[in-house]
Amino acid sequence: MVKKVLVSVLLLSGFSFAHHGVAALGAAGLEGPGAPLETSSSATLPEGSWLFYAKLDHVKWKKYSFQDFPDQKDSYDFWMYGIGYGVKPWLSLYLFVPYYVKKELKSINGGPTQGQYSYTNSDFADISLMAVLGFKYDKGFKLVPKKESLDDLMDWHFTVYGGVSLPTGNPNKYDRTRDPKGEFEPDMSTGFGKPAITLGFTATKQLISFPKLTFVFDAKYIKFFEHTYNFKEAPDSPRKKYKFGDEFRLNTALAYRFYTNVEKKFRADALLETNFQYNQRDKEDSVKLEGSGGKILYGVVGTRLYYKNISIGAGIKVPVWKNLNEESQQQGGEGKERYRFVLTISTLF
Amino acid sequence: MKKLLISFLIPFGFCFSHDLWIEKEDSQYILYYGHLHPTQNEERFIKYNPENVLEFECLRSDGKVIRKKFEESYPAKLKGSCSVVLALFSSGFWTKTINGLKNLPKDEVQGALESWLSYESVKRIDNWSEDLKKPLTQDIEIVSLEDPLRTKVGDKLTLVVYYKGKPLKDIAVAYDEHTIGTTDNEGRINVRIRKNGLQLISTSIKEKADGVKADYVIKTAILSFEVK
Repeated sequence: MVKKVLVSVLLLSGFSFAHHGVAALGAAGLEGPGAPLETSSSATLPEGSWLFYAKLDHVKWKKYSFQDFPDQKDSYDFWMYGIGYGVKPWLSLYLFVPYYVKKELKSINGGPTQGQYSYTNSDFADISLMAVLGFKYDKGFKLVPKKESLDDLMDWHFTVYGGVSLPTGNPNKYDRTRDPKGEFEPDMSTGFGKPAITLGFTATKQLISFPKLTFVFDAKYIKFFEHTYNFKEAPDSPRKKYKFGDEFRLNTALAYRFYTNVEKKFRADALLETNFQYNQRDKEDSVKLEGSGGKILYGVVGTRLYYKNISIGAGIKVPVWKNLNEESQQQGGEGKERYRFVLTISTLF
Repeated sequence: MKKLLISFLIPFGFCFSHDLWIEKEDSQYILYYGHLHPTQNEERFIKYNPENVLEFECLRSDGKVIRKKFEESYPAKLKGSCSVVLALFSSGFWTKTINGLKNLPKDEVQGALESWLSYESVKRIDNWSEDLKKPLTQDIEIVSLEDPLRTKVGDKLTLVVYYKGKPLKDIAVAYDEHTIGTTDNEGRINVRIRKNGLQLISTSIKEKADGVKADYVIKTAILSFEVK
């Protein structure tokens, strides 16, 4: 490794459960609550219905002088393919299959004056399973019923959700361009090696007095576990252990329905979100790692379009405030993005 | 209505565009047709033929009919102190043609595209009793499961749509002509009261007719009450 402290916190786009933003069937889709891009809403899938979902989270990293950072993250593409099923009106199950493309620009032989080469690691990442339990407040708390009117949809709705990723991705792929034994860069891998656990809570309210506006709140905690990699610094040294810092996220969002065409079954929403994220430090061989972790507040602006049973969302996400632990060392870590472009498409049957 | 061949029911989206409502003035009830909340280019009152009013009844809160006789004029008037007032109205046959919509049966126009016979009923509640949690007729009817007269703006009311005495599922229900959803398996739907004054909550079904005078029959039921 050229510079160990450059190991950043892992971008866990794939595991986070952003709301499917599904175009609900009938009037509910055209006039019901809106769905943000990054903030999970409290919508559950109708009983017996299938959701198909795809998402791209394209991250472009800020880059600096190669004198200061001989190796720099260039861009990450987090593709996510998902399928969901409404087991009950109040219980939805999801399976997510992520595919990651991670690009890094690295200095030849570690010397910035000799030029750079591009290292890309792309593969399917850890699949994840998610269960979402929906409930609402309507003269008391109750599970989401099978059928709700537009007026029912304006009640406070909530979900609690939990998920687990399975270590199906490969955590042990290394760049061997400069070093035959490879370079240890867990954040460039496409697997964690261990399951990760997500627990979350959402609240959604479509305003009765102004139904074009929907407020969404989402809080989640993501727990990672230490994984022992195949990598050894030397043939007789122990295998490397690495644990990504746990994450805590608080998201809020407003969705404003600015256009509806009932005849064409088309709807357009404007989206505004704030996503706060606290990342613990990563640990390497049980030692807290410099150049990782911190607090970031993202702003998201976007739109979501609904046509019949299809929903397409797109938006730009940028860090608007950050307090990283060692900001000057954290190129390629969350908070140091130039921008993130988020695109989702989902359909319900 | 009974003369028509009723072979199947179709949950029906709201294509009707006129309201039927009953206003209480002193000791009488007056039946109006038109637009309770007219928008631009709409008239509040549309004059109808007195013969369009098929029934106009005064009922006690237990559902028993007190008076059936009404003044057959425009507008139709019903005297008495009633807990519930029921009216059944028909604007007759309507036929869509290449030259526009005609208020005639299908077999009396040229170039008929589709035709229907329209029935509308309104139930106005002025005094509540538990007996009103059941339908009063065998026709399509909206029933409230709670006292609608005690509701306030912002409250939700649970309603059940009945037809032939049985709950009707998957039928669209509208508040002030705006569809707010369809009934569940028990025929229920929740509707939120959005403003004071006279409320109109409606539902409608389409039934196949004989195909000679009309292709189908549209039956609309309206529940009405005042929120103060």
